[in-house]
Amino acid sequence: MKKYWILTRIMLRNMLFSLNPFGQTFEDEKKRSRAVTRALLRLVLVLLALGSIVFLEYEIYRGLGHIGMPMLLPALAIFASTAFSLFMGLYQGLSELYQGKDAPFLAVLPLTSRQVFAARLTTLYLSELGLDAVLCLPAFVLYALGTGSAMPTALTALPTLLLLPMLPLSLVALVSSLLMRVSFFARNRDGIIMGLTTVLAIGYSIGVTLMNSSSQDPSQAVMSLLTQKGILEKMGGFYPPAFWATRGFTGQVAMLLLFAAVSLAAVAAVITLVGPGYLNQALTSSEKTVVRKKNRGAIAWRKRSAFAALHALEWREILRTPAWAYNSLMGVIMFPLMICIGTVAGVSNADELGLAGMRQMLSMVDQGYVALVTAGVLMFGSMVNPAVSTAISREGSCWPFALTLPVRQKSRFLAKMLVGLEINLVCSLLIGGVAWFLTRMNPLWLLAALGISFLVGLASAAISLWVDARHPRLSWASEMEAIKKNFNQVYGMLLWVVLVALCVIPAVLLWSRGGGIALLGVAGAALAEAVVSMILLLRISEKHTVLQS
Amino acid sequence: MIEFVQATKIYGKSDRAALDHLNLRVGDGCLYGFLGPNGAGKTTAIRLLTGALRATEGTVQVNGIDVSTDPVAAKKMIGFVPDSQEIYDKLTGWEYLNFMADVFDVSESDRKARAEQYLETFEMTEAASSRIASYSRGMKQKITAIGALIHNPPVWVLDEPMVGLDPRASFLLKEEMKRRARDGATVFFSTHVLEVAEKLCDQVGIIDRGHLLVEGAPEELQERMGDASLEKLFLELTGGDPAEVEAK
Repeated sequence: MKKYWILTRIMLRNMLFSLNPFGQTFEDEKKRSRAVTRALLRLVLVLLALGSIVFLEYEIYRGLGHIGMPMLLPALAIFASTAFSLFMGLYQGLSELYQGKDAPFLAVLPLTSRQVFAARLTTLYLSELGLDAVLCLPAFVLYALGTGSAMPTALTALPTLLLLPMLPLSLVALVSSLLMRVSFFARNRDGIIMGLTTVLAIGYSIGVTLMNSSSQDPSQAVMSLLTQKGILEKMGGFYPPAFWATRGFTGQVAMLLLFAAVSLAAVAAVITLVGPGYLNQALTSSEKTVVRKKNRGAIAWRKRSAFAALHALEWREILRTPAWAYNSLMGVIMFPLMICIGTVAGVSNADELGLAGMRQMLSMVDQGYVALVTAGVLMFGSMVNPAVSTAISREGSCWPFALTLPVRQKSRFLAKMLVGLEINLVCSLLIGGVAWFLTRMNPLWLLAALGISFLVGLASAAISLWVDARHPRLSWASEMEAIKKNFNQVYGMLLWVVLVALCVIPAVLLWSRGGGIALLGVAGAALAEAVVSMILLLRISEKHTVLQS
Repeated sequence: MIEFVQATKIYGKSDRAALDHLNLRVGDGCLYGFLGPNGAGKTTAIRLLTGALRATEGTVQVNGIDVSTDPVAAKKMIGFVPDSQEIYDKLTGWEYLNFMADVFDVSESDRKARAEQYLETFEMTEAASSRIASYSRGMKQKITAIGALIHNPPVWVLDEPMVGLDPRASFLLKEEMKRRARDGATVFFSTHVLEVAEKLCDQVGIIDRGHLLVEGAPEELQERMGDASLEKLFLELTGGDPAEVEAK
């Protein structure tokens, strides 16, 4: 047990090291003060982000309070954090548990495999707990204040929060271990894992949608969605433990005990099952064998332009580095993909639930407004784009070598940006497909919405690459660190918020003059953003052509 | 031909120059060894030459092209083998060579012929289908060397090329360096291995704390120092008293 604590402490210290400017040594006072300023700026940004979440949840709570469904806010927060832990956690779990470079080092220390696994799981748990706290605590406090039950809610909120990440993480660890086991039989392990993860997530979304689109009477189904209890039960159908947690938090002690028992049992089970073989698995996954085989003779010595070569290189680097593939590709595309599949899978029931009526109603509204709202939704496709916002940082120690190649920095930056835009485009097309399916809007309006979201995506990609080019984080110990623990990604997301907010202004100002005019205004703002961002990026590509000393 | 004229590099606000008014000219067909202790300025000089850094003062030219005014044209003249082994290791050997050929604009027939020839020479044909991440240090060094030769550069720059190579690979690389110099290319490399420089180079330069202390043919330098070995000369010039070192 003592060794477990020592290892956990070191892992946590390692995790927090880059965030603490005071624990590092600097060559001179100027560099130290710069680091402190950067840390303070990050703190302000984090506080701003937290403030936005609190504001958003407050507005949702006010809305739900008006229709007499206050309990839905903590329920939504619990479901959202569980979904994050399950789906994004799967990629993070795979990277943290099996892609770490320290497995060979840990293997020679006098530690049991179970101790190492438990320590790793604890660090994962604590980082998930932090995310859950950000999403759930404001909701819990708002609910407690709104219902005037501060004391009893505080008593149930703490255990609910502490237990919340346990079950999803245990499932993630178990599934990761199974995926690793299966992948050992394959030559292309990473490809197999990525394929299976996708199949698993899609399978889950189809399964759950089909299970929930049961043979219930359509009118009854609609009625059940008009009550707080009905909605909660519907949500519970997707993931029952989140339903128990919500009920437990709102005072049903039996539900809280059930949730606690299941969560703790899951952790114990996963440590017992996965722990003993964990270190061997982690070691095997870090092994790289030279596959010596005869020259295949079919090497394509096809000549491409330098730009095409850089673009292909960027894709290969992403697809062949599991931590990058999970976070910049799978993690980004998976959510719209699941929405898409969930919608298609639930089509029959949805039709009966009044989809035709909704389309009928929308056809009577100014199509410009529909396109405007669709554009707003499509913009979310470019919100998270680590493929671009960490593109230079990911070069790491290859960067000095990259700079010796005879290509213009502009080509290099644009090749990197194109990869991010392609990922955005997939997200936008998926969400656009769902939007068209639900609204049956005129394809030309949909195209306009797609165009606007593309321009915002372009601006967002250019500006986040600009940030990463100015201050790349080139020294990192693991690929996970380069992408996940890189603040440039957060800056990219925050700048996306600013860009979207700037597009909202003309929409609000021109709203009364008709949907088409408002859409035109937003398109103008998006175009201006794209042009300015591209100019900034191209200017920095002329300046940053060498290593920054 | 490569030429440093008053090349100076000062990092950030540092009060000490990493490279201090370096004047150096290496002609065509010359095999030049660049020697110096750790932190002497060798890598900085190579980074200025290959365009990864910009000189604070002075110029660096490759075949008459200024690296800072026309970096792309200057870089096209150079084949560079870095010391750190930090290359795109998610690619297979073949993919890496194809990538290098693309960025250096090499025709399909030339890249095929050169890749096959050098893979054969460095005994890497079989390993070329595997990802570079799975290579040993020596294999990585060899694939980087092949990548640097795929466009048949008139200037070949190697940073600590012998590190990590087994004797056979080291021999093959040295032979290739000699062959290219004989064919008229400029070969410029940094090394810590004084014996290699002594036996291999037409010219050597010893650098310390950013200053070029001495340069010339190895035999010429030995003569100047009264038949002392290059090792003794190096220790004397870079601060260590050879007698003391010997006594220890």
